[in-house]
Amino acid sequence: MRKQDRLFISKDRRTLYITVVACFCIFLLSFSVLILSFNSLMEKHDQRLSGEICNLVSEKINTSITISNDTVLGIASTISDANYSTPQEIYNLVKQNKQFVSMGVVDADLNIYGTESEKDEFEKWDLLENARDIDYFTLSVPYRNAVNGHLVITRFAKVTYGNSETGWIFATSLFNNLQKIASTDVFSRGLEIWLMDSESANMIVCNNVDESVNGTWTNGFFTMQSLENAGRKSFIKWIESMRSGEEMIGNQYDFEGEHYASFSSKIDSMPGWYVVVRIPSSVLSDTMTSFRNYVLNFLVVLLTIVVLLIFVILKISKKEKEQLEDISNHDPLTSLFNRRAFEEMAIKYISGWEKSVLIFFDVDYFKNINDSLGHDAGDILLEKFASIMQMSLGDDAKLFRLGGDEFVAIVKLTSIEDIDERLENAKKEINSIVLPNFKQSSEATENTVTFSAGLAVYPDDAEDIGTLKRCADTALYIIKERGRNGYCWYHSL
Amino acid sequence: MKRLFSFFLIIILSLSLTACTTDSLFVAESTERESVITEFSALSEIKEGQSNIYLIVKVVSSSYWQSIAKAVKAAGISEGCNVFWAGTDNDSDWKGQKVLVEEAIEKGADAIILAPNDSVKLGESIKKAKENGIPVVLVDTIVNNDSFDVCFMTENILAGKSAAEEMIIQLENSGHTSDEDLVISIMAGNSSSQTVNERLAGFYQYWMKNAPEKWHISDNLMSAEGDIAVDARTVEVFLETNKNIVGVFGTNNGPTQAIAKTIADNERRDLVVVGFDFSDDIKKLVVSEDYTASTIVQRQFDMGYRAVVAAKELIADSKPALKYYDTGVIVVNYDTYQDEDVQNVLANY
Repeated sequence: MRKQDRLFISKDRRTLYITVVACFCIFLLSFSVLILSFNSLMEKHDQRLSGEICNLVSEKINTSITISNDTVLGIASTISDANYSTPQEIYNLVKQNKQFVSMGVVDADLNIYGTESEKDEFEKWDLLENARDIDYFTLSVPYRNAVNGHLVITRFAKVTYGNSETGWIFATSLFNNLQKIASTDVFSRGLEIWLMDSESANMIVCNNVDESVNGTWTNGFFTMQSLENAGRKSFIKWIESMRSGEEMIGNQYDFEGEHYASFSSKIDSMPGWYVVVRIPSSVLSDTMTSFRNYVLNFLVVLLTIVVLLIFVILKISKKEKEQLEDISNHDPLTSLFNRRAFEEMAIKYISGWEKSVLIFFDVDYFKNINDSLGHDAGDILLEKFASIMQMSLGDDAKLFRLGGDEFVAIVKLTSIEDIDERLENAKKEINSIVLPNFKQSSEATENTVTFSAGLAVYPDDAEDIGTLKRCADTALYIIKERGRNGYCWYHSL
Repeated sequence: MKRLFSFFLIIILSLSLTACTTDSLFVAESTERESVITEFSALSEIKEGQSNIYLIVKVVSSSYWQSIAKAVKAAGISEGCNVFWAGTDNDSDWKGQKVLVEEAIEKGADAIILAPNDSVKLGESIKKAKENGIPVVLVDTIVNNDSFDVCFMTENILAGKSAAEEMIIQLENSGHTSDEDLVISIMAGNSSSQTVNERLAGFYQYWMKNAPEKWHISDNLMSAEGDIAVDARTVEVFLETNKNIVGVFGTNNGPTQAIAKTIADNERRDLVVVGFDFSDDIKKLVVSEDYTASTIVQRQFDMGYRAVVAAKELIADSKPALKYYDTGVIVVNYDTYQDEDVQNVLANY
């Protein structure tokens, strides 16, 4: 391989490496942009969706409250239409209703028709206050029922009886029913729901991550204390919006490093009360993050496969190239370097030492041997010849087969005597080669294998490879002229 | 080539880790404290043939729970029951209480009086006791299911309302009129305490409905740290910077002590103080004619005593009429301090 070729290939390889690294950098950059874009899209999507979820959940709870209210209103309407004469008659009817924890009646004079414990509850929780101030329907603040120990809410609906007197029926139901409506498996980890009194900022927990706080109270102004100034201002603005009677209020805010969406919608049957639903965006992000991670992992795996494939392909390609180079530079019969390799490498080897010898060989009368003993015998002879010559000239000698029975060797010159000795050894070994069918040959002398060699010394005889080759060739020609089976130094001519 | 390949592999592995780290490698740090429970010990003389009642409290070292134990002991003696008690060292240790419930079952309890540290997680323990035919009476805190037999506790919403009512009454008694623009302030205890939150909710609920329109609660609540000296300083600074404050409400014992200390130290006779529980600091103001101070006191002795009586009834297969009893509070101020009922409650404090 020529030096320019090597340089060219090395340039190619560098270009390849630069291209691969550049592609990888572009990939990394694209990957980072992808992650950032993904995160940004997720954030926007989560914020929008969490707002919508809050809206839907608050609507769901409000609708459920309305449906339960309608049941009580329906009963009240039926009772009014039936025009019972006394509140006791109404009580006798409604107390049998098993749909609610309890039902009873309050007459026009605010006398309560109910159990003793219910009467106590009315007094304790000032429930009559709820009833007397309403036009036709209201809902009490949640309170703990003494009979069952649970939080309950009581609905009051106006009824008429007797001589157009106005009273109320009341129906007490578990607050837990509302909590069940509020809870959802899908967002159970993050969805928080409260009923909130805008006047006092009191909030009762309907649904929380921590189940143990469900049904407990907290106060908005108390929780507000953990907010920064900007948060406090937003909080107060929110309370004021509720106090001014806004039907629905949507909010987005950050608290303790978490983004929240909240939605507050007015409860018509509880003046001043709102359903407040809050959800951290991260609840949605968790799902999206998993999806994003799947995509990113897939890309990383894909990249790994691509890199592995490139590596394997380059490795195979390099091996194949080496094999092709090996085939193109070697003689398949003798495994020596061939003429092509000699043309490429001669100058390198010759100039590699201070002094070197270029030796041209050929087997004497090889054509005769080939013709008389056959090509197979000729091939065996060439194999043996190459092997003996390599052994005799030593490991530092570079031996090439130029074609047919022509060989060339490049040997480091330590001394003329040393080369002579090596060639003499080679001569002996070559002469002792036994060929197949040798016994059947009629002329023994013709069956002794000999060789002729011409030697030229670099740089004494010539400083360039062309002239050196010609010198060695001349010496070979001379030894052949002298009868073969020997060698000749060019400088001795 | 190998070096280039290794470089790519390292980058790819780093990318893989980056892609995985978002949640899969995150491990939340547990905030639960280690469980430390005491052995059951007898509160009264153990007699053969008497029912064995096991009291499991929240924090054995607390004076509040010790006074409940005192009530349980008194009831045990008068009702002829053997009473034992044990508890945990912090009011979030539900696991410790679970162990104690199981231990009480093993020891052959005839009834268990429990002050649950968790309203949800102890449900299974209560069910287990019931399955073993052991009645369960709750004190102080209720659980979120039906498994218990009866609960005696202070309804803190109503207690908060009583505090607001007392604040309004005392402000009026101090000469403030409904035409006057006035502001009161609140110092609240631990924000995670259900008791504090409910008292606050009750206070706000009553105040918003019943206080004159021009009377307001300051939006800035003082948060107590739990150290009386530090909290007293907080109150002092707050009052210095908010000269318009005419009344201060403390949601529980610590804040009340801090407020009372500041008021006494600074001789702020112009302020109305309403607090919770009974300490030397608040007593000093309550009994003084010069100050306007009231405190709301729970009937925890009643709570403990009635729990034993109910447990004995349940052992005898008699079910209490109600499942939930509010043991109520008393208002202690200069006028009521000498009342017999007040003195009886304070005697067992």
